[in-house]
Amino acid sequence: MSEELKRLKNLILEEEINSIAQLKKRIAILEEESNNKEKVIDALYPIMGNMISRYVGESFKDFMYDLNEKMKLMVFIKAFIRKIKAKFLGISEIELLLKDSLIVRIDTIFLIHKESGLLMIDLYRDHTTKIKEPEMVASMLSAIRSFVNEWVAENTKMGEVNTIEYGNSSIYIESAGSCYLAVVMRGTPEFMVKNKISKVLEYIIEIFGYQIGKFDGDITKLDIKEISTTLLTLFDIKENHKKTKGKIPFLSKLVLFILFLIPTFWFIQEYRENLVIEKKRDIFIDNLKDVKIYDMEISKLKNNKISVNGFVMSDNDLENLNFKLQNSRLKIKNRVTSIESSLVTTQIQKEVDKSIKIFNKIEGSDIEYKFDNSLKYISIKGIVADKKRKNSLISIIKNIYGLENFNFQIETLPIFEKQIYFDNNEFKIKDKYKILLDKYAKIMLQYTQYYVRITGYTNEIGSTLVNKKLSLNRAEMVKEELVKRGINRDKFILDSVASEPKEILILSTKKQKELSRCVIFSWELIKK
Amino acid sequence: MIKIQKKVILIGNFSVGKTSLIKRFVENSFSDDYISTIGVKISKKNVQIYDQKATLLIWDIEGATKIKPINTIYARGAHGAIIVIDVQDKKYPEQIKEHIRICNSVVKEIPSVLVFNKIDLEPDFRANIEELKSQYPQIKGSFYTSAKTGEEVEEMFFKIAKEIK
Ligand SMILES: Nc1nc2c(ncn2[C@@H]2O[C@H](COP(=O)(O)OP(=O)(O)O)[C@@H](O)[C@H]2O)c(=O)[nH]1
Ligand SMILES: [Mg+2]
Repeated sequence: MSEELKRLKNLILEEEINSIAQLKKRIAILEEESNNKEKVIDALYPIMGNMISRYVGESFKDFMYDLNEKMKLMVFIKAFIRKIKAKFLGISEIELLLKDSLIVRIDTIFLIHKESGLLMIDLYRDHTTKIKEPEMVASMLSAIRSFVNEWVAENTKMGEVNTIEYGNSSIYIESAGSCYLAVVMRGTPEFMVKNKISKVLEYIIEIFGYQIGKFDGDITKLDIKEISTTLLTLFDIKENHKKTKGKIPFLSKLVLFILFLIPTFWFIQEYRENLVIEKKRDIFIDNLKDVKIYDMEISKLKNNKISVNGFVMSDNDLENLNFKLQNSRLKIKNRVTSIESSLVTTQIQKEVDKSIKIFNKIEGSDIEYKFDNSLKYISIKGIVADKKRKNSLISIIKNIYGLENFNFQIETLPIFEKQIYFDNNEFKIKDKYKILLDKYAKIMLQYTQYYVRITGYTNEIGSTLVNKKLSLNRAEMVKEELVKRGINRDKFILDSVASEPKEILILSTKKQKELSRCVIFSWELIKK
Repeated sequence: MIKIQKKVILIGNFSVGKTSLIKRFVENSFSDDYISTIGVKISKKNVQIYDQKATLLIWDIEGATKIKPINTIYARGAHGAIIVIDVQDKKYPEQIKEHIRICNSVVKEIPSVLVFNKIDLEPDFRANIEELKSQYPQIKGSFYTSAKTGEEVEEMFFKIAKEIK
């Protein structure tokens, strides 16, 4: 402990003059309570946030370092505004709570290799959220993460650290497999956002986990485009923010503002009193463990009682909570409600919808769903490119909270297993391929939403120009055969290569030459 | 973003000149403010080896003293190591072995170079390292550098960059 305090002191000596006063105050608190480990962590966070923000460019300057105390006061004000909003807009407070929890705006996404701290992908909402020196920021985040996790593991009972808050922003860290996502956002992530982020990462690990595990610093070995497409869906969370905002009429805003000014003083008083309650709250939270209460508020009642407000995700959790409170010695009045029923109607639908949307952005996916609220039933129908994706889709849907009955009818695209081979310098199709062409035509008629790429190859003898023409002729001949079998002319993409296909194994040079005179079929997964 | 990034760690006892060597070599690094807090300083340098561009992310791990060992978590996932020795340190063979031992306990035998720094103070110093080299094939070279004059600093960093690939 005294080692940590020394380190912090060093930091003060090097800091700019204006932050010295603030840091000194922190150290004073620290030394006073040096037996309270959580306090030390609290003190470390803003410093780290500050360290990061100093190097990540203009876009972060707005969200500079604030004191934790200020943040806590904000929570009270937020709760008050919500109550008034509910009155004015005539919607239930729970609905507003749910919307509140979605008010975050994701600005930046980093996919980082866990072991080395190297940056694999960086994505930005727009040019204003660009970060200078992203590779360095990624490495530094990794260093901080390691440091804090190690320190926390050694000194406290808390789990892995996953949020670094600073000012109005936070960096949320979700780790899985051999990588982690660092998501920079305005606001603090709540359940729904965290859930979404973990789903997306889960999907990435499932499909790209192997290549990420083998990452050696060479980005060209990753399927950057596909991984990015998946990650980009996270920026959609921003839209919820806009919608909520748009619904509040101007007049209400004005009234809200005036109402807000009057009781500020009262709130500060109230806040002071609540410091006393904090100790009780800590014990209470310690007791909770597996029950998670969202937007929890604790207030003081008469004769030293306290009451707890908030909501839990399921009726089961509520029962569990009641049971725990009855068996504890704390005098706590339970005003927590379960939002299971309202969850089913709104949030599940949204979750399902988003998950399916993510999936349909992946190349080759074409999925539809039907959702029956009363039965908690979902049926999913459609096509995905391969088995891996099918399994991942099923696991993602099955993990959506609140769904109970499933019906999956998911096909994977058939593979064009065989090629068509040609004689030397020929592009005439041999009769023996008729059956194969019939079969391929049948497949194409079944999946008319996709295109088929037909690539002609030649051996590597002779001039490139001649070979290129020859391989194109071969591809065209095959196309014509399929057109004769009823396929629309513009369902094809033709390609010609003046060399042997990479897929062919080198057996013997003679055999290789024969095998390289061919046409290969593949799905063109981009829907047009 | 350059397509290839590599993580290089600098290890060595306290005050051998690690931070000074990096200052000589890189154009970009985070300020020193936080190094005393978390015990590592990260810098970046773009290099070109033959026709290939690469970004080196150099982790200057705060040095070991008798009471405080280096924080080995920072060595995880490194692709190369620079082991820095002060030429005035007469017990360098043991030091080198110790650093390699620590390194190998965290990452699998990564390419490493030995750096004898502050050569300006003892220009005639030459280390006897043949035995070490045969014992640890991961040692790919040795350099006599001075962070003060800049001698052999660039060469040393390029050597490790080349060995990593
Ligand atoms: N004469 C000389 N002094 C050096 C050299 N490199 C570093 N120093 C000095 O050695 C001290 C420690 O250097 P520093 O880079 O902080 O060591 P670190 O603890 O390994 O990072 C400083 O006073 C430096 O000025 C060198 O090549 N020659
Ligand atoms: Mg140093």
